[in-house]
Amino acid sequence: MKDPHPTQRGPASAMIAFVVALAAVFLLAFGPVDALAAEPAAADGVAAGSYAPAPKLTAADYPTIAGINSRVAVWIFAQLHLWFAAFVLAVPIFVFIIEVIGMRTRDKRYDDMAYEFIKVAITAYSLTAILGGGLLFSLILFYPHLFTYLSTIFSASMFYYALLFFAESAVLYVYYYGWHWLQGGFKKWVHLSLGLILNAVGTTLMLLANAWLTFMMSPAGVDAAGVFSGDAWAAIHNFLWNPINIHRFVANIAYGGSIVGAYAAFKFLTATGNQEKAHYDWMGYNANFIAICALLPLPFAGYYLAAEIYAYSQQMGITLMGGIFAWLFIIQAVLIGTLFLSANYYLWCGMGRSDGAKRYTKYIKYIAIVLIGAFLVWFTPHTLVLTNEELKALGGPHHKILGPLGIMPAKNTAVNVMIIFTALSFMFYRRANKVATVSWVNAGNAIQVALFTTGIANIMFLGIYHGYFTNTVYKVAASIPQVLTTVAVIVGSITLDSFIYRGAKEVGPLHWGRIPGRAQYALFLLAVSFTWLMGLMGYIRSGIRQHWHVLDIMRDASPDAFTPTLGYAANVVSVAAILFMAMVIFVFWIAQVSGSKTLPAGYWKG
Amino acid sequence: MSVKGYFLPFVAGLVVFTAAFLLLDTAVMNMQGLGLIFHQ
Repeated sequence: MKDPHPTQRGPASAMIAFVVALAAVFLLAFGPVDALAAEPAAADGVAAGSYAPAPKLTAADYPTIAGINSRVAVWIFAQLHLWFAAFVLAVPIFVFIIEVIGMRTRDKRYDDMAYEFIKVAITAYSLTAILGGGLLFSLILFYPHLFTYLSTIFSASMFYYALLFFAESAVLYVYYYGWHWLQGGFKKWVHLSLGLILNAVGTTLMLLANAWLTFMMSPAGVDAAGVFSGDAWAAIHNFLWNPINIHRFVANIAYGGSIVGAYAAFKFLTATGNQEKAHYDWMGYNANFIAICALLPLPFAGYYLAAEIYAYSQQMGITLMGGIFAWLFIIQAVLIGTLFLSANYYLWCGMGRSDGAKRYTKYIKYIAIVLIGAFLVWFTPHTLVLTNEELKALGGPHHKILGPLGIMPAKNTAVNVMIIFTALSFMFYRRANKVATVSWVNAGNAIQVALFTTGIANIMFLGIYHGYFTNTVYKVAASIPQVLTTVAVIVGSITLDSFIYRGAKEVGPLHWGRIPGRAQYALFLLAVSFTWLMGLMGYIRSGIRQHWHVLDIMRDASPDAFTPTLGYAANVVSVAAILFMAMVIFVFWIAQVSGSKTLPAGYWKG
Repeated sequence: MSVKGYFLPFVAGLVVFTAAFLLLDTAVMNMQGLGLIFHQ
């Protein structure tokens, strides 16, 4: 809904952004050299135009402040900042797309929805800035030498990051507060251009920050001792930079979609009138659609990232999925399975909006069986954690029948099948309210069935034959034609469907708002699962460096330079996730009250 | 369900898509320096 009386959040956010950016610029300009004079080699090296090696630290180099656990403090600040940053970077991407759809169709509902999405994001933007400031200060306070080393290498990019932060804030505020001013004709094009600039700046910010974190995993532009060559681009364009860029870009969109979906669900459940319910049902559907569209390619982006981690360092790769972190991948599988099941469940419930859906509801149970089967395969572990008695009873650490399902070819096959069946759910949803009028409808349907059948058979062939009857190089290589088969099935079926349903009749008007309340909880589950998943997987990505700040170059000598137990890590991530959810509820509440107005009778004169 | 309207297009689809997917597999595995069917 429109917000004709925007609140005064803008100046407060701008002030926070200003203070944080000013502090960052100040620290970058003066902090590393002056404040850390204990590192004379590094400081002198920079001043002389050459660079010092990475410092060799001892436990005494890590300040202890008020008994706070340094690692947990940085961990929670970084995690909270990342969740909000992912959200505020993603929302403008699909707001831009929705605005384009609105301009093209001239349907004002799209414009109103895009405005409401950005309204939620703008409150979150303040929190992103506050948490970014918290992360910056905690890094400087708790890990001063690491921050000095990184800021020596990335001084230019950190400076431009601060400037871009100003640009992001400025464009965002003009984009949001100018929404109703820049309407119609040329003005609308100006507004859309602002949206494009906002996304370009936001994405550049993400790329720069990604360079800093990937440098810590796959350092480049430095020699074995950590001496910087002076080539900043080499340090930015390190081995894992692009795999992380792709993975985060896609994941942010899926995550942003899930959070605004939760917002729509919250508004749906608290709506009093039918019209309001219909509006938020429509908004929730669109948010879920965005989340699914980004969720489908996400496992491939993640697989690509993991493959590149293996390619860069086999040791890191084995620690990732064959070592201590392997069991977190079982939790990951459970959470991703939850994402797919809740997204599908929401679609199935949403079919109730159409009177024509009955034709397809009989197939839902089969889709559910396949999804659950694939889900079970995905989270079947390879090696079990057992007591001696259990080990003896089982005859080894692997189950005779289920053990083979624990390796990657089985997981790849399962996830591709899950993606194809999610696409099938969506196809049924699209078809639910339509009746095809073309004469070749039966032939078209038969060809579609053939496409799905052969596609799934090919994925199974690649997964089973190359997964179990050839060597490892084939197992990994076969995952690529599996992905391409999935893409071919989805693109092929959508294309064929669009021809079959060209000029189709509608069964009747869609009944927006005619969806059970439990479907809204599927949207909440989507948001919570995404949040927890990002936290756990982010911990793994960071944790595989083990006792290194910068892999093989700068050793972590702090008392926390050990890998915590999985239970401890999961608890930290869970506490952070609860804090994040509390803040998100605050953001939703702020967005809700900003549209409320009280008329105090008799309070004002006249 | 008519043979001409449904069954024939289904069989034709099966043949065409099977060939297309096997071609795709062969091409992608070859591009990675590997044969589709494993050789020791």
